[in-house]
Amino acid sequence: MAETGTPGPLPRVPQFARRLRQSPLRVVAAVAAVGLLLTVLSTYATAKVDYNTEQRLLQTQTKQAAAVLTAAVQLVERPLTSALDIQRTLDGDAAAFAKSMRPYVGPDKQFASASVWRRSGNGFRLIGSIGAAPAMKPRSAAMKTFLRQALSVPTYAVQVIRVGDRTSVVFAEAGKARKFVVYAERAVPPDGRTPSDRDSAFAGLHYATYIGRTTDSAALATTDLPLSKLPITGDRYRTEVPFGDSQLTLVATPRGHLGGGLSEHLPLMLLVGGALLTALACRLVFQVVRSRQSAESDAATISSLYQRVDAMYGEQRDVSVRLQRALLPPTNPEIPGIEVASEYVAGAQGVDIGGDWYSIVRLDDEQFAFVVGDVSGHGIDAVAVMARARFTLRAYLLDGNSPDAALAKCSQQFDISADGHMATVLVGVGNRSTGEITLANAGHPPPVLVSAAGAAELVRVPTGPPLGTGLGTYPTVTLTLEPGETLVAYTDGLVERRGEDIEVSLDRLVRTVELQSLDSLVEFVASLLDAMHDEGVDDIAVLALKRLTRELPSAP
Amino acid sequence: MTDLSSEPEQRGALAPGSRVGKEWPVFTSQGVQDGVATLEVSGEVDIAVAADFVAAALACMAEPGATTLRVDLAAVTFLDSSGLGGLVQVRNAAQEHGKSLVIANVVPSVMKVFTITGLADVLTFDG
Repeated sequence: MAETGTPGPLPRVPQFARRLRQSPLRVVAAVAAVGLLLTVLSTYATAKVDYNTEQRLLQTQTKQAAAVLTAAVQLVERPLTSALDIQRTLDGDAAAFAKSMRPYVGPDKQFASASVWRRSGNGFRLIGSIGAAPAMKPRSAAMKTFLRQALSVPTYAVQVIRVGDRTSVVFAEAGKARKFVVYAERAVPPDGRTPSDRDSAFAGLHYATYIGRTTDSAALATTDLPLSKLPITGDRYRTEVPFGDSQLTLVATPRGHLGGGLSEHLPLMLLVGGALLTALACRLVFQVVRSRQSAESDAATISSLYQRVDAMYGEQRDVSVRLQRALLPPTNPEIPGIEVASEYVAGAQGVDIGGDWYSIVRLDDEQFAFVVGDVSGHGIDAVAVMARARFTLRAYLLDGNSPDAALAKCSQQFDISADGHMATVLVGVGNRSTGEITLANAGHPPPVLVSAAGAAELVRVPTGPPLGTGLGTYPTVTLTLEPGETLVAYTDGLVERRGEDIEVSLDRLVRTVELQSLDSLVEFVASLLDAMHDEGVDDIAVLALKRLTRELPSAP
Repeated sequence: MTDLSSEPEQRGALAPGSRVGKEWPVFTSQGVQDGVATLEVSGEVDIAVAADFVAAALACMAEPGATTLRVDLAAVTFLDSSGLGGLVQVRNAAQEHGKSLVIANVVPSVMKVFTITGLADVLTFDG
């Protein structure tokens, strides 16, 4: 089974694959762990990026809102300073004050009420007023304190006051001269919002503004949140805007996701997607592992089947080889003066034994015959043809036919067209006393003649066609085997190499023969086979005849 | 032109010892011209394919008008005793039908096989 592959042990399973086979669930668990780890890491990273983006957006939007507030704050001072300038010029004129402030005072205007005061000793005297009744009582100590505050600061004074549920931001401007003080109130609507807060800069934010640095509810100016939600906690950004002698503190928190829906949902999408991918990968790995296991089990089944088939072939081959050997002579007959050695080697492959044979026949006291043959093809059929050829030739030779006659007659008994086999045969009839050997050849490779000194040459026997072809005749050639000389006949399995010129093969045989010791003929044949054997598919028969220099005692 | 070769898988399951990885011969019929049917053979012709060769050659020889089968062995690199036997079978079959076999373009190494088996003198060669 050399070419279809002898089913040896299964190929070595790599370490990893072996571990795989042992614990598929462990591999699945490892894949799941890696997948989930990657998912969690990417989700965390995305969430972190999103958080940072949100923080940055919150900061940016809050600063934009602060810029809006800054602009609004700047609008507060201008009416106050221009009214103050007019009063200084006219040295206190209620009608002029009302006229100058009218555009800014009233419902839905910048201020709810305004008034102008002249410094008078330690106190202040009201010159004129416009708008609703002020939340801060004109005659109160609080008003006096507040107006004095305006005198002590470089810009205007600002405060938030609460009367009942009414919240107002109050301003007092004394200018540089500090002779007059203009007072104004701005009402914070009940919803806590001022017109400037409706600017788009506040659109994405919840916010609260406070007068001063603290975020106490007492300092709260405006907010879009119910009081119960204050102060703002969680993600928030705080910034400050100069506001008169105080400052406006803006605290903002995002209403929703500032970065938009995708960035908000991306971490969750990654988490869910990653988990799904991990589950899918686990399932695939599990299937791969399982199919691998089943493939390995299939391979084991196939391997055991192969072994059974191989064993059966082996048995069949054993039978064929035993048959082949049974058809070969168990021992060669004793021929005085001639030493005989022979060997048969079955082909290396399968049940396809060949039809090679050799045979020695003692014809009478002086004469002997030998045959080396090769039936084309392989198998039991070839062996059967071999047996027929062998015994037919033996009968003709025992009947006293010359080698050529025996071949010619035998040739009639075989027909390649009938059974598909033909046979190449070398037949020799020799005289043990004279060493004279007559050879006839039916398509067989030429024998080798080895001198006593070990020099070898091919004996070119004129060749007729193989038996079974029904063609041609068989010429003979006669040679004398001198004492010490050896004649080696063989079948083509000894020499033939696929792809090699047959003459090259024969030349190699001659050179190899010369390298072998002739001290023992049996060992000569064995070592020749060793040297020439090529693990070939073909079987080999070798027959060697050596004429002894001293006649054996049994000779007459 | 008929391709009479058959692919290895069509030869049925490969028995142990069958040729795997060797060059399968290809038998190509070149049709009949002036009574001569030509079969071109390439590759190694041995025991595994001898029967295929005989079948291809007989089919080629049976083509209408063919009186001579010319087997072109120019591309044959190896011929074993079964291949030789196949040629002899084809030759004998040709003779039975009153036709003739001509073996053409044999490369020298293959020609030596014909010579050594005594078939060089009994078969007809050309080229």
